Amino acid sequence: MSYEPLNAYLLQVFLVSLFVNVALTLYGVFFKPHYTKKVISLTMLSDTLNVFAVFIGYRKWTSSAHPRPPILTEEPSGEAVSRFVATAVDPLPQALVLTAIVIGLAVTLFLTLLGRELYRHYGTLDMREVGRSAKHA
Amino acid sequence: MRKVFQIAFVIITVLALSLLVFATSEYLLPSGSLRSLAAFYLSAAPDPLHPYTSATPAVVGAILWDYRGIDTFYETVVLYLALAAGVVSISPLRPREVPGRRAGLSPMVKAAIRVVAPVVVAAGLAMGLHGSENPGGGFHGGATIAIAPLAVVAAFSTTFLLGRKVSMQILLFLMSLGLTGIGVTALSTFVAGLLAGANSYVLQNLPKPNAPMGFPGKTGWMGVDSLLLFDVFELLTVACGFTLAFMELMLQSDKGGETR
Amino acid sequence: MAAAETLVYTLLAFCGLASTIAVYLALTEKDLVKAIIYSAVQSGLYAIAYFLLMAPDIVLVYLPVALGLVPAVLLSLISRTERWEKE
Repeated sequence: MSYEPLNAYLLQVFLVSLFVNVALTLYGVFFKPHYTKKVISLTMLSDTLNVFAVFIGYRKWTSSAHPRPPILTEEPSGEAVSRFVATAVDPLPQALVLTAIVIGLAVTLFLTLLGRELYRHYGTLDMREVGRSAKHA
Repeated sequence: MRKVFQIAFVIITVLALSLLVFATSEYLLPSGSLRSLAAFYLSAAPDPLHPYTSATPAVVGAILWDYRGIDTFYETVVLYLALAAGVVSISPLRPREVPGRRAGLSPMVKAAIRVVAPVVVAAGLAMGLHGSENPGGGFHGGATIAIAPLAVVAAFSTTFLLGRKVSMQILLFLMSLGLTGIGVTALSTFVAGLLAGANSYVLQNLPKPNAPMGFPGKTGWMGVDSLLLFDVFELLTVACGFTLAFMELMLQSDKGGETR
Repeated sequence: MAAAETLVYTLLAFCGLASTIAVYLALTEKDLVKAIIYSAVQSGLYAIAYFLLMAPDIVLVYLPVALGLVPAVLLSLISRTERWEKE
């Protein structure tokens, strides 16, 4: 890759911050005892992985132009389409991430409904106390 | 002071780790060439002379509904199942009484929401129905439309929508109608091919080289192609589904009470 | 064009750093309403990152979902259950 060192470093900062987010939210899902905190960490984890997937589909800047979004803005003649293919970013990760966002939202909705049933049944949402009272029940 | 120290520690850790990664990884950075599958989608979807075209300038919408329609169909089914399972198994669809005029926030907020909520619905409709030409589509419009009942419920009261006869049964019926519409549109080309004796596929949009049946497309009868129909039904499903979810979530009782 | 490229990457790096700070604050906050607001701030920064990565379809989905629907759903969960997290 013929990147200047500054551009490469800035992209590495972004990538490493994504990985640090993944690590922090995984810690939140596993080791924080409150149920709502776990649900918040799960939504942040899936959002971070979606950003990483879209970043994989990004494209390097050519010497003439920046990469374009995958929407054709001219009349579809032959040369317009070939220019489009030469400068547009990858559209497939964006379609997959759209599906992932919708499914993540459905999972969050279902987890919320489950959380209310847990509170109604055990009186608390602290998973350590739920585990203790479930063991002694 | 301790919090400032912790924030500074996180920043310094990230910058130092990125210096370490900078020396090693070169294959995570963006490259100048596309993968072959991406090049196929980018050259096939907008070009009307390509044999596997879908004649739309919005390539992501074409991938969602035309090239990979099965994934989007099952995503809608997953959303429907999550909502239906929550509603059916956790709370019965029982209406409650209508509140008086004093419930909710102040009259200024109510007047503002009376102006803003229809504008949000109009913006969601515009975004959703133009999905085959501009960025947008069924799910974008449906999620934006679902913000309006949220604002109304927050400003007026939790049973305001029930007082306006928008009951949960009607919303569940509209959501089922939208999902049925998606299924019918997916099967329509296939059934038309069966009736006419020609080769055709499920979820087929425009005529393909070995399958001559297809939708009229943008230059045909009223500009109908399967992307437009899918966008309309997906918008209906998603908007009604999220409104149903909010009413279901807001209409329970207070903390821990038995509300059956 | 080189300065524009560096500017875009600088904005991306800033979004990444600020989102890490927001994630850390959301994890260590005991008041769950404030934790939800921090996660909404992180979602806003990710929406800017999606825009810089040339994905307009995803921005149009992500803004209503992660800044409107998910905080509303989680706030309704908090209002029916507990608001403060114990030690």
